[in-house]
Amino acid sequence: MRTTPFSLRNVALLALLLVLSACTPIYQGPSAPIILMPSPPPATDPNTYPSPQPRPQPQPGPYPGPEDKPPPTVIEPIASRPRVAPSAVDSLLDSAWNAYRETRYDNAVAFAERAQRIDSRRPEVYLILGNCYLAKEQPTQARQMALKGIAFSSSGSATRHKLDSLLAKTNAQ
Amino acid sequence: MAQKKAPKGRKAPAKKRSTGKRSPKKTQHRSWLRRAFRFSFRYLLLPILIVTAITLLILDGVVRAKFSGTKWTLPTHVYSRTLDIYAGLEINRENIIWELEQLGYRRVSTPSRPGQYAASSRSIELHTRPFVFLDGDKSSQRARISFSGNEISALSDVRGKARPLLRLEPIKIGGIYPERAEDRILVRLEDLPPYLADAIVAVEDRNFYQHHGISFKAITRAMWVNLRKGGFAQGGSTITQQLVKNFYLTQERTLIRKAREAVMAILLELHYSKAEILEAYINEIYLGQSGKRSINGFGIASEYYFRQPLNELDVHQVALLVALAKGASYYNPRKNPKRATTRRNVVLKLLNDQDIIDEDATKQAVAKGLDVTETPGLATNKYPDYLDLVKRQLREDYDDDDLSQEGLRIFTYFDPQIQREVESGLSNRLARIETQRALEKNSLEAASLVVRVGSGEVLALAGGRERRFAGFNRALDASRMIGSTIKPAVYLAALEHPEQFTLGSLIEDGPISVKARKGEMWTPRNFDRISHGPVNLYTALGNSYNQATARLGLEVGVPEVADVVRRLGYEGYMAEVPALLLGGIAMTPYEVAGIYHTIAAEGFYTPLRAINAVYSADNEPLNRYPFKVEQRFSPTSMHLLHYALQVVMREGTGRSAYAQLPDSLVLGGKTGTSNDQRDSWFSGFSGNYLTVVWMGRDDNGPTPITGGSGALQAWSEIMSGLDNQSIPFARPEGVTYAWHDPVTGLGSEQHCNGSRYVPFATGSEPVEYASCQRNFESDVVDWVRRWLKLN
Repeated sequence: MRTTPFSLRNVALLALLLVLSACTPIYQGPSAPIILMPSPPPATDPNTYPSPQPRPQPQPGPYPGPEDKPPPTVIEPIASRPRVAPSAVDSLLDSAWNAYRETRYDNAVAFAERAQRIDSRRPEVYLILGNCYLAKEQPTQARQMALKGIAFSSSGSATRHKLDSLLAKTNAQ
Repeated sequence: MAQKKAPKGRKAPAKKRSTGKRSPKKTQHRSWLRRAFRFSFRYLLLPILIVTAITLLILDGVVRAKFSGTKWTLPTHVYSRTLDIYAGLEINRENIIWELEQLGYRRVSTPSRPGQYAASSRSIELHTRPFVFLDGDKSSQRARISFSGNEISALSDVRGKARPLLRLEPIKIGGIYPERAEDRILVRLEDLPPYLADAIVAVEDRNFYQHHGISFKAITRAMWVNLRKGGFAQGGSTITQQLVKNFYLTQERTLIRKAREAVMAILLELHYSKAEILEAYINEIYLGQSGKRSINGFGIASEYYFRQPLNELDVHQVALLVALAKGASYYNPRKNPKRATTRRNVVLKLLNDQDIIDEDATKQAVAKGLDVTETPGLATNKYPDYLDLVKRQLREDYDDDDLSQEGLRIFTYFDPQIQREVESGLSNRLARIETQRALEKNSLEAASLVVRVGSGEVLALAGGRERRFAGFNRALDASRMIGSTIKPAVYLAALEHPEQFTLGSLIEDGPISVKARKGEMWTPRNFDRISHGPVNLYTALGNSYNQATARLGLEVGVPEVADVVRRLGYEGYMAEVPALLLGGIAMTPYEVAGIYHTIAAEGFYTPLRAINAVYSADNEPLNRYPFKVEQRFSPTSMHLLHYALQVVMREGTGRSAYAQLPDSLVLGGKTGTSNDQRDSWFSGFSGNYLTVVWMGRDDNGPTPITGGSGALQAWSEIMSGLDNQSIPFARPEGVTYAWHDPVTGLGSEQHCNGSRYVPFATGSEPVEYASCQRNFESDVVDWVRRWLKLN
């Protein structure tokens, strides 16, 4: 079997690279930064920031010891959010648009609100709601729905264009 | 007049005398009789006839007025949310079965009709009931739900074709009843299950279709039986008489009442058809008692005893309900199952004797158990705290009479599955805390509510630790000091001024003293009594530093912070004093939820709602309570605040939540502890649920728990039972991420020791940079990571 020497060679190569990397500056590219584990807040040490008050006796902590555990992972923004139950939401949105086209606005709102319960960040939900309210001559609500949809949509998307156009219509009213 | 009458009186005797045939004695006798008759007619019979006629007219009016108009005051029935089922929904098989059982679905081997289901280890096949939903009628559907762990992996029709959605009808969760607490669900003759009408007639009044209200045959038979048995054994009342007794009269046993009953029965039959009378009887008859509430009619009785709609009942169940008509308390199947079984079998035998069911069906039905559910299908107040909220919101549009008499149908957002989590989370944690801290049993109280993020729908609400207890509703009425719960408002007020404050700005966490009203000094201190020096905003909020927050709030301005609290949704009174900055204000958990919902919904205010729609008794939509929204904060400032609230959860006072929740779940939240630890709060949210928990003593006494060691623990337990999604922490336009040095607050580089990647309102990123100490360790780790990724 030739696997063992091959694996050993890989391990050796890795070890060498590790040693070299410790001495070599690493290229910092323009790629999305990877977050570092935050250091513990330095200010919690009363020796670093002397307090005019006497150091108190240990108090019961604001959270219990046994159930405590080290702070997990990092806080970073997500690039894009996966859609929740797309087929269920799509089906409800289709029903909502159908009801809207048939001027059954209350039904359209009911369908859109069901879709919202499953995925509250689908911009199309607010596009339908906004259009329904506009049709029902409630431009203030229509405008707010458009704003909410815009908050959840990515710029340049077709839905965003429609939401922008809806917002313009509500402004015009 | 007297003069005119006198000759007449004299004339008559003269006439009699002229005949000369009758003896004076006889004549005298006849005259007496005539006088007696005249007297009787004038003074007895005529008045009686007149009184009778008037009585009949009055009774006729009564009979017609009540029977032709609205016959019954109908209580309002309150329903839960409908359950949308789809592939990807996080719910396990057991919870779906629980939901089906609450709806009274029957478990069978092959579901062949609505209201039935079959369950295997990984799937459930069900036949849904038709239901009039808000967005249109839905007929009965057949579907198969497949599970993979705690998630629905597939939803299909019975032939295996995938379908996007399936909806279960809502669960009836309670009612609003009139003072005379009668409960009923009206049914029509055409909606009855097979055999019911026949069985009622066969058992109660077999000559129903022949008599005209009263049956002399039945009365004679009853008298004979009663004489033979030496006591009351059988009644001779017809169905019409029974209806009259229950519908118009009292239960007193007097001859006058009995006579009135008979007359009214005849009048009823004169005016109305047999079908109308039978239908009224089916809806009126008393069939049980649930606490103060009486169960009237077969419609509600079916739900009360079997948790099933009447039209789904089998013959053995129908027979039991008919059996109860003879004496609902005496034959109560939950208390006296043996007695009820015997009576039911008598009914079944009668049905067989009268060829309504055949021999085989009788034998099969007799062999069956009573099939009565262990607990009543319609507890009046199964969820009294939530119902309290529903009533309060309804009273804005309806008066009390409408609510208790018009038979309204209220559709709410109540989620019984989440309510279970809330109730068990609170009671488990309180018991545990009391044991751990050696506190007196039941000395602590709690309240909690869960709201759907974005829509503001209140999904569950507990007003105390005791389940199903309609007492003081702490979630709505316990106004308690909120402590640090208010801090996000202080930081939000600051972050709305990016030119002045960023998340990286340093603020001194040192002793601070301000002149308050009445010349007193306000000197806030940190919980740990330690001053932490200059700290950045996210660290100060994450660790809930009081001194830093007070200083920040004073710099921003108390009125500005108060304005932010109002924009977040608080409508009560606020004393705009420095103590407000550290939660020197009392709020109810419901009010706190309103504020935090605006935060969770990224700056969009939505009034919290419990009611979806109100329908009339005839299923006509009366009122919808649609989703309303108003943007009150910019996406930029809310994104920055969400970052800081995540710091609370990852590194700060909320971090112990991750002992019960998965690390991958992105959460935001804030602890709150009032002075002397009288109140323990935690308000936090995932991407789809906001939960607020309060703990404390009813006498407002001090406790040994903080927001972190009390409310947070229950919060985590509740949240661990929900199908949470992570906060969708996407960077909005107007936000730029930059590296910064947490100690100096200046800009930094990725490779610098301790540097951190933090969001800034675009244009407010640090322009000055701290001196950089290279973090070789992380450099190597990063480099190896990248190397491994490339290979």
